[in-house]
Amino acid sequence: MGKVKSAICLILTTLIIAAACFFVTVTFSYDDGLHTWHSLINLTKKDATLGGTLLNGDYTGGSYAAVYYPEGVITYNEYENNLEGYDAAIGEYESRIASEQDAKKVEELKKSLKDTQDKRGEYAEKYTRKGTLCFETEKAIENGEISDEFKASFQSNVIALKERFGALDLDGAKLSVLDGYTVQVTLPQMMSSQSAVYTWFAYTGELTVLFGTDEDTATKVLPENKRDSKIGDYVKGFSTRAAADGQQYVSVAFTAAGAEAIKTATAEPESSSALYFKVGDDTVISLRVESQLDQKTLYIGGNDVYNSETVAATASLLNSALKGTQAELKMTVGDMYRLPASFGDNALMLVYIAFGVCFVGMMVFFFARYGLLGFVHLYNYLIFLFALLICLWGIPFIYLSAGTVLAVLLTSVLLAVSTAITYEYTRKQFATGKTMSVSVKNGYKKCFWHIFDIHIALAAFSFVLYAIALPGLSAFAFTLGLGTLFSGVCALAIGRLNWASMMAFTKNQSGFCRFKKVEVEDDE
Amino acid sequence: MNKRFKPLKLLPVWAAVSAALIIAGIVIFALFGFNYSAENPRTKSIAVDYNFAVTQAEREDELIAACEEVLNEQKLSYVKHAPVDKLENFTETGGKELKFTFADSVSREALDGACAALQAKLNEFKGNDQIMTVNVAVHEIQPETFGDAAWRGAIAVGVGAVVALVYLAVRFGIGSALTGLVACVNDVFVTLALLAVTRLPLYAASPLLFAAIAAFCSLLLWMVQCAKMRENFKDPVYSSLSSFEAVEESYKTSLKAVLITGGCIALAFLVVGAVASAGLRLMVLPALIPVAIALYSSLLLAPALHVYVKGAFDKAKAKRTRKYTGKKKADKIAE
Repeated sequence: MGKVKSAICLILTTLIIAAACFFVTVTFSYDDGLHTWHSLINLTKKDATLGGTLLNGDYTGGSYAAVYYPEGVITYNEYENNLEGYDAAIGEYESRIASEQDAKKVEELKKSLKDTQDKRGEYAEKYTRKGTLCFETEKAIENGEISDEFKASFQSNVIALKERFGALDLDGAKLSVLDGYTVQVTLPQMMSSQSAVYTWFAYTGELTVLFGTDEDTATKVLPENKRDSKIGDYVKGFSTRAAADGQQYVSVAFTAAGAEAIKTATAEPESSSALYFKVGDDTVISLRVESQLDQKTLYIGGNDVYNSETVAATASLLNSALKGTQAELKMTVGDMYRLPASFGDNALMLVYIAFGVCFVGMMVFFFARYGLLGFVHLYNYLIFLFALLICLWGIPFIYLSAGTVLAVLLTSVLLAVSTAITYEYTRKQFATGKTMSVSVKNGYKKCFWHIFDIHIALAAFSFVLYAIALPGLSAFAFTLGLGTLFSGVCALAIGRLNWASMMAFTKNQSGFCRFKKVEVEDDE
Repeated sequence: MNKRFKPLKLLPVWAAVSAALIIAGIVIFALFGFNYSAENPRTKSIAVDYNFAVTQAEREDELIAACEEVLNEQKLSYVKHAPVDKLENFTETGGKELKFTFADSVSREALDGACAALQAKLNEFKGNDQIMTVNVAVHEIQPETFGDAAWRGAIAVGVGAVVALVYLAVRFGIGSALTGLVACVNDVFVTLALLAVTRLPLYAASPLLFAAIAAFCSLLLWMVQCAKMRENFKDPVYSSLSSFEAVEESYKTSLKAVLITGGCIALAFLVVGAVASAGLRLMVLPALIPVAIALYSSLLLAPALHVYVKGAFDKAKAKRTRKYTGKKKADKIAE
């Protein structure tokens, strides 16, 4: 390559790296701190384990936790606070009675005092304390202990919640039973619809489908009012579908009997008629019906409510409600918390430092062994790294997690080793007495298929892993596949281009690469 | 390499080592499963819940110090967590929850005692205005696992490896792919077995992640060997060698590359593990196991096995060659 072409190539590459470096790593405030420019690495989604505070004070990463309270269960603190509220009111009435002169008003106050005292007494007796929780005696207590019926009902609630959250396949979601009779669920902050998911998954009861002009007057269509008819006889199940334009749908598959019942019910729809899918008393889907529905499968979506998360949550909830029983307890979402990254707020910073240490170590090796050729690898590696980080930010289904950190690390080593292999093959060629350009050409030629095959096979492994595995492992696998592809391109194409552009400016090409020719002793 | 040490002749030893590890792993796994204590520890905790008034009055540090003082007086060992924001409809209320976690073995009575002492101490914060609220509660946390989706990850690793090995078969020959398959399966199972046997604290996602890393490293290191073998076997000198000699000679030339590749991955994991926070360390340092196992199999087990596989394929090839030379027919014609 000529010097002019090399210079243009080198300047362009340098500019691309500098721009990528700026966009990926630089964060600053401007307009006296009113606005903040965020680096892409800051904006990259983080899972529940990693996270940190951004320059503008926002927290990225971590998770949300909410506690589900079954009907008839409150915390002892809530119970105490409510009693304190009654006590405060009683105290207030007593002090007002003491200071009031008007006999009529005193009588009224005494009556109010009596009412409040009665209510306090009733409230105090309504609950039985068990550890940190208080249970409504009537609903949950039998002979001073929690009744077996309540225990069984709560257990079926736990199973339903496990099924529902489990079906979402969320990386970082956790479910714990707290104090025996409440359920704490943690969802990653990188989700966008936690609120809807928490609320919907509190719904309990059986699935029913109603048809009418409004929710209150709608008549039940499914299950039909027949003896022993179950909703499962009419609805096969719910799943999610995505259209080519990205629109998300909940797909409802009816059995022949279900489709027939829906067809009959929707024969003469009015302008405001709708089909209501209810779980217990709560409406999950309200589908406007303008003409008779005679399909076996319905695709419901098409408005802003439905994104990939809400569609998955709806399908999961309705599938679980297909098996819903009367034994389930009503649940309410209670305390909610924002949890920081479980690996600690400084975990990300430490990851960056660790990468820095590895990067310095790698570059020291390349500069020590290959002299100025180290710059070629430096350019190579930076292009690889920034391309990968931009993809991590831009591709919606991958995010920063311990898995992706390991994937970036693995592919970084792959690139470094592949580059070193090409250098070593070239070194061997040069040692046999060939010119540098011929050595580079032959070196790359000799190792091209080795490196190509290794990268293709590993990328195939990674992408197949991504296609089949669930979130968490799939984020790792996709990053691994992407990194492997970038590593192959950088090692075989970009590396060679950089080498040619950089070496064009040196006269001592062997010195540039620290390659030596093997000295052949002349016997004569 | 030590001339007396001939790893390629020790296939039964390597096979026995792998089998012993896998059997031990299966037994331990069947009895205890993996140790998921890093992800789901069964714990007890004391939660101190306070409202916005405490933070506004800048008495948060004072409150935390008071809590620690009381718990230290109770001589309980605990892990203190940073206060977390309380939310209402995903909006901060200004209130926070401070949590102290205790081992599950700490008795409920001891914690109730500590809780009462804490509440008494923290009532000072409430003051007369009753604006500040501070509540203390003991919680018992019993983690549950979701319907296990591990099977899907396992299938993914298996199918991924098979696809890669099909490519390997096309490019390097069926023999290399078969050896690679055995090495890959061995690495995945030995890695999982070691995780079970060593009872390392793991996160729920760790076993499959490490299995995938084991498969990836195994494929990578074995392909480095295969690439070198493909290059070497083109040399006419190798065609006159027996399968053992050919594999051994090639093994010597690729040893450095395999060691450097595996060593670099291990070193990178070690550096990140050493620098990373405690939580991430539990994820990164055990990842050295799959790397070590992949190194073991690509340096010892796979080449030793490949001697036999190559021998068998060479024999079959020779047989085929003999079969199709048509020597007898030619003889007949000559007669």
